[in-house]
Amino acid sequence: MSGLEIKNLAHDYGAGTLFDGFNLTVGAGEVVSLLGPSGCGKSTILRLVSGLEAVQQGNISIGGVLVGDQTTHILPEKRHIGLVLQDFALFPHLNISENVAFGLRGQDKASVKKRVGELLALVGLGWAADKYPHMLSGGEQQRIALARALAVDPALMLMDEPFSGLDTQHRNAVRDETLRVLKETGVPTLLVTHDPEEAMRLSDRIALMRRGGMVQLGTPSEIYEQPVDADVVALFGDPNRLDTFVQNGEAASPWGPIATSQPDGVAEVCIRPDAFRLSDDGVEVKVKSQRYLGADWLVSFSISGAEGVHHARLAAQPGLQPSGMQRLVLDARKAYVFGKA
Amino acid sequence: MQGTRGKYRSRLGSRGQTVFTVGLAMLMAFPLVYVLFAVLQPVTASWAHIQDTLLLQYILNTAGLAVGVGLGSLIIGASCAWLVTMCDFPGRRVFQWALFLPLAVPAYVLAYTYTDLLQFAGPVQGFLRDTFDWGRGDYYFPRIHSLGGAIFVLTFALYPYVYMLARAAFMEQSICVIEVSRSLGCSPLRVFWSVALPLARPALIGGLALVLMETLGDFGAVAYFSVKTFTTGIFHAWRDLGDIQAALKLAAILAIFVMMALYLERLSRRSARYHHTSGRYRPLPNYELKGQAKIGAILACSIPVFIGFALPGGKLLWWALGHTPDLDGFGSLVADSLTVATITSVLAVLVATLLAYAARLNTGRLVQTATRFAVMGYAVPGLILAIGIVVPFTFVENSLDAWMRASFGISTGLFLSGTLVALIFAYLVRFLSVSFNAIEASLGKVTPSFDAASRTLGTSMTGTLGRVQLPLMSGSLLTAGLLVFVDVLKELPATYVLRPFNFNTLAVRTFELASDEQLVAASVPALTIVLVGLIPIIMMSRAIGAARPGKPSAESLPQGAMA
Repeated sequence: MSGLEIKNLAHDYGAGTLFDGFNLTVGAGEVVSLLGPSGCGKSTILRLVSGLEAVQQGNISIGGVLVGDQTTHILPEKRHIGLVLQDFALFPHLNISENVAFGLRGQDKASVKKRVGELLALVGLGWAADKYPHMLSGGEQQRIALARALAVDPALMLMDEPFSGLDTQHRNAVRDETLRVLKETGVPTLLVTHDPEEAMRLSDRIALMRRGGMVQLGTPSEIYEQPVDADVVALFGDPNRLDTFVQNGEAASPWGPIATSQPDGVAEVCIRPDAFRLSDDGVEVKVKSQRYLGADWLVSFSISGAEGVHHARLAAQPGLQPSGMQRLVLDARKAYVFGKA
Repeated sequence: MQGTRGKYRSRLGSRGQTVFTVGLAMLMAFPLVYVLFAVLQPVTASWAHIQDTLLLQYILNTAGLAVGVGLGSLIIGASCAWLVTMCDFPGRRVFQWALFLPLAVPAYVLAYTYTDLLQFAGPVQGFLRDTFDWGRGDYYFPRIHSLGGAIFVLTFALYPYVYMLARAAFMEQSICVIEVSRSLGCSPLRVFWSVALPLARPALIGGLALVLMETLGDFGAVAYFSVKTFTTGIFHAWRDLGDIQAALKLAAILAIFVMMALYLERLSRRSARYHHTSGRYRPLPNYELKGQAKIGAILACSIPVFIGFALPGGKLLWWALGHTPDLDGFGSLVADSLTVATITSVLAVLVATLLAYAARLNTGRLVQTATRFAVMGYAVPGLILAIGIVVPFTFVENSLDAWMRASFGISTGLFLSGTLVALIFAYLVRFLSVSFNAIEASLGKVTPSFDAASRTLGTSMTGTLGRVQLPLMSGSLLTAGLLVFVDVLKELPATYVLRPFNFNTLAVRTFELASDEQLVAASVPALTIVLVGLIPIIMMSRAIGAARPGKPSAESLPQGAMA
């Protein structure tokens, strides 16, 4: 039984279609991210799933139960979901234990106390039981919000930009900790984020969104290695974009033909900046400028046979400062060919 | 809070809330609508009499009153607001809140204290006669029982509305004013005329509209001075001529004037929005005044406080303490007043909370519009409300009574208009907006994420209200209740018309005693009203102290600090 099943969901925001024909399932123990820019409708999907907004078209089931379609609207309090928001929304008038116990009303005191203790231990904040939210750091508040949402044994966990309220220093630690807790409890999770790195780091699968609907759905490696268009490539750094021509399954490039499944005709090749390597058997390029970034050199270069300035990230080596004429080889696995309309 | 607005709120309401809001709006709008429909009723004989002999006088006097009070309030309110926000002179900090003090003194109390002070046998004329050795008829002295007297009294009672909004506007525009004045080398006076005043125009119009609504609705002061205006005319037609239709017609005409003032206020609010340019605060410029300007500023700010508060307040205190007035019946007076004020406050807070919560969770146009209608009653003069309630209520009572007698031989009597039901309903219509504004503002500070979090944790709509919203708002609920409480204690015309037999409030008793020339006896209830009326002003002055420009205001504190 899957945690979440969304079928054919469509939504109109008055000003036009936000998305259309949206399908997604989140299985038991799976973490799926909705990744996309703001305004693409990813938060709206979260609101529709949580019941904060009504479904216009399509249907949503949680734990095998239909919770929303054109005629059905189960209220959020009846959906058995956990929700963690960007601002954590911890109730300021309640202490940490009371916050975590908020959803446990109606159970006997002893079992509530036991459950709260377990959850605080799970997120490593047993010491904070009697504190108030404002006394905790952002990361700690985030973990309390998670514990509070988990307290009711949700059939589905929904997280809306849960880490963007945190400072960058602590973000990674909290992300890892959150993932550990989610995996330990096995609750299916739908996470909304605009940060590709976060999606890669946390997700089993990523649903890539753009205004109008979903662009690509796949595991992090599928998203990175088999992008469906140039914009998907661009999620992980601006690629070099060169015009090309496909003939018989090969696209021409200064580095020689690149194998492709695209049909014959005008096309574009997108090459990730980290696809290049210095090598004597490479193609000669003219370095225009170079910046040292620690692990890499960011090099701008021009090459005969392709217009404009291109960029490469070259692994830094002691004593190396790329300049003048250099020779670069291309890792064709990081070069993608897309047809041009 | 603008940023988070609407993010997590669309589908959390219920149909019950929609029904409640629309029903409440219809109930609250009913008295006014009823009065307005009277325009369509056929004319009666006494209406013809009123139309021929009195209507023109009503119109002229009411218009004169509105123009006089409007102008006077604008001049006093705007200039004092400018002085205390932009200039530095001794006592400025005190004047900032002291200029609100006249709000504590109802106009009818001012009217009767000034009658005593300025009448022929009063201390002012007596002093003049003694000093200059004048006799009766040797000198001209304006009669206080006149249109001019009413303008005088209402101006000093109502200018704080203009002052309040003008002050806020001047404070907001301070940065821009500094920069313009510095870069162009304007004198402070020129900045006032050419920059600050035009920029503050929406606020001034808003304040003026409030003053006009109060002026048009005033009954106590004009009745005491026997000035023939619409309100006294309504009362005359109804009580003396016994012509309900004529009273309703006059009320309808007055209601149309009031709605014009209300429209003015709405317009000013709409254009005021453009003026919120930045949330940054910098210290205000403070032109340090010297010499004559300094004395002038102190005088300009102290005269309104003296005339509107200190002198009448002192006079009341003098009477109450110096003459051991008759306290017979004062206990039951206080008990009656506290009863209605308490019941109304509790009801107003309850209804306003439900209304504000419904408006928060149902963002659709129907509920939003209905909410605006439900709180519109603050603009409707108490006397119009009273007529709009008592006439239909009596009709229902009489019909039901007749039917019950005929069918069962039982008389149901005046179960609405003869009891507190009608009175409390009138208070609720009039003062719901007072509690609603306070509660809506407070609820707006509770982030919608709390709704989302609570609801997804399995807590119902009402459960969320009880467990999350109300605990976070408790302070504001108390404030809202207190504001309504004070307003009820001060209310005169609706109470005067709608109170049940043998029921008397401080305001009504003050008015009755004063009308009977028992000024000393009137001083005790009047003083009580003034003292209670000071409570919201003290609260306001503390808020002013807390939100001084240059410091972060209470609104900008983080959510966690709210509890």
